[in-house]
Amino acid sequence: MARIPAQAIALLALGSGGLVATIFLGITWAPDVNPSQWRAPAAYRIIFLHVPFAWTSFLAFSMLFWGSLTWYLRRTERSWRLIQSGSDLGLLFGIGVITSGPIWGMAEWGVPWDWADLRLNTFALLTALALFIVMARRSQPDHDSTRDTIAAVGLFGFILVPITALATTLYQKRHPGVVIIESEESGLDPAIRTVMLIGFLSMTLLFIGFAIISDKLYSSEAEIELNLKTLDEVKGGE
Amino acid sequence: MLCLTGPNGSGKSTILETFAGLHAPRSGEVVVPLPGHESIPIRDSKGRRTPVPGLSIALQTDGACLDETVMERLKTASRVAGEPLADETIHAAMEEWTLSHRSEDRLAVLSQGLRKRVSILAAILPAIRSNEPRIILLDEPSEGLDSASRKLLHESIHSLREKGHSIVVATHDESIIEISDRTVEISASMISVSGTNHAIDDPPFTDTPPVTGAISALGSWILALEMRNPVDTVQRIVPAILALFLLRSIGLDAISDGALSSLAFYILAPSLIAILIRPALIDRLKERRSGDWWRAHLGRSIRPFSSIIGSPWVLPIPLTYLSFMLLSTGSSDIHPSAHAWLWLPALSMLDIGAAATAIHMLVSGFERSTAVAASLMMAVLIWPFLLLVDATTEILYEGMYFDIGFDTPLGLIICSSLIAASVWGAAVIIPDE
Repeated sequence: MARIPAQAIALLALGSGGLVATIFLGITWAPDVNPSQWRAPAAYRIIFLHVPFAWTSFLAFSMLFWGSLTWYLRRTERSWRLIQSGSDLGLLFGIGVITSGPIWGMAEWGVPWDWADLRLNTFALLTALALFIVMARRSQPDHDSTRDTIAAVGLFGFILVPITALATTLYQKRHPGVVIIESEESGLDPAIRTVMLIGFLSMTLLFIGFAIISDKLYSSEAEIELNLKTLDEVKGGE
Repeated sequence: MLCLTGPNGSGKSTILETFAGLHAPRSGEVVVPLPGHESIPIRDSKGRRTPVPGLSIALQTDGACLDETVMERLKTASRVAGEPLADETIHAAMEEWTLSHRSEDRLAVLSQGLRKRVSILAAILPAIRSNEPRIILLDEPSEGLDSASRKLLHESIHSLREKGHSIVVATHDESIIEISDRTVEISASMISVSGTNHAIDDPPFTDTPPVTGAISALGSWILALEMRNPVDTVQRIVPAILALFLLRSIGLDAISDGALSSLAFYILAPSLIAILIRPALIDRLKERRSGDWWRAHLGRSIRPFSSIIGSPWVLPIPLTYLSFMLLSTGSSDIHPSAHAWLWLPALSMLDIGAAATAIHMLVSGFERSTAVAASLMMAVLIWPFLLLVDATTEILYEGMYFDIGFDTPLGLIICSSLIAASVWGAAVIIPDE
């Protein structure tokens, strides 16, 4: 019987604990930002979740795209599992980004969504793409031709990811810049930066834990399917 | 002549269709061997795909949209085969197959037996009139035919063999099996071959397939069907007009936040609605496997070409001007020459339309296409649309100017078209099977 790997459970426990600490420190320890520069100086705290969500969804989308690419090159079960896990996790963490973002946007900008913001929209599109892949995977017969199409849709996201990264600096309108990288220049409070880093680390641990479990789950599923097919043949031959 | 036989479900039709490149083999490849020449690879397990040169196919189901007339079907088949025939020649063939009295009738009103006759005649007609040897694939050709038509079918097969054409038939019909040179019997556990290996004296074809003629035939086919039954136009225009009237009734003041871009957004919105609708072409290509018939002749080219030809070419410009007329009344800030240049962003909407059609076609290629949501992929088209909104805003309030930059009308329209073209490219490159 397949078991959830112990290291994955440890990572999930550490990540969850870190996330709770991030929320606690973010609310109690991190100072308010300058009210003259921000419309909602207290609401900014949601970035302690929002930005790590964005980081881990990038990791998930990269996993999806790497799986898609290697599926085309090698067509291995491992590549397909990367697509499966990458799309599931991309959807999970992507939803984190596009739900936490509008909450902050509503407080800070007065509107939940800014159609002119390229990065915001790119994340929404990447999440929509992940949802499309998850739905297609679950609804379609598992043939190589279906996998080909899904992998190609995953590759399509390759166009979106660099645009998202570039959008941070090139076509930025309302959306804030890259907070961690620019913190030295922007004079970000060290407490804010520390909480942010704890958030990053915790979310990354959660991501790795989920990725290990997901990989285990899908490899077990593939094994079961193989056994069922063998059983079909045996039963068919009776 | 080769016959594929075997019980139901043994895979006769699948093998026949694999010969036509419609399915990818799990292993091995389909090639057309040319004595003294390099073989032409048709389809392999790695996804390579080439249309079979000199091929005609009659699928078990009609392989035609039922809105086509008998005459159109035969004309299209001859054009796709690169052997365009005069109307008189087609009429003579119809006379022989007792179809001439139905020449202008739509396939929808014909009986199953008559449609079968049309399907077979469409497959063999280019070969009957061709001096070059061709390959004809017939899937259960005698199924549903009366005795007179079966006799005619036998005579035609004899005549085609005499002329040196290659014929592959998937059938249960003993009378056809009897006249074949070789028989391949397929069962669940084995494949047995009997008969003599008939050597090919002449290369059956040396030229590349006449894809240009087939593409032009596809264009005419799409246009003729839409002219006869404008489902596509109607199902696109109705929601667009409803949205427009709704915007007009509510009043822009009630829905606008006062931003200059709002008017441009609402002017372009009906066109966006129209171009995002699932094209009727997809249903036409699904009907009676007519899309598979086209794929057998066009190979992978079908998605790029049909996504362009099947786009809503006519709608964006008139819809944009109609929206402008209805929604811009009372706005005093609009530049006097704005109306003269609104066609430019409206024209660029066609790029988004082609990308949307390509995405719909990609999704329709899934085995269970109704179980996936095309709209999730369609969301990417909001970008080029928003760039067009920015361009239209500039045109509305500053007038048209021709500077190139990221915030000039021309620059924004070019960016929009490039993004739409990238999406279209990604959607048509993705393999269909």
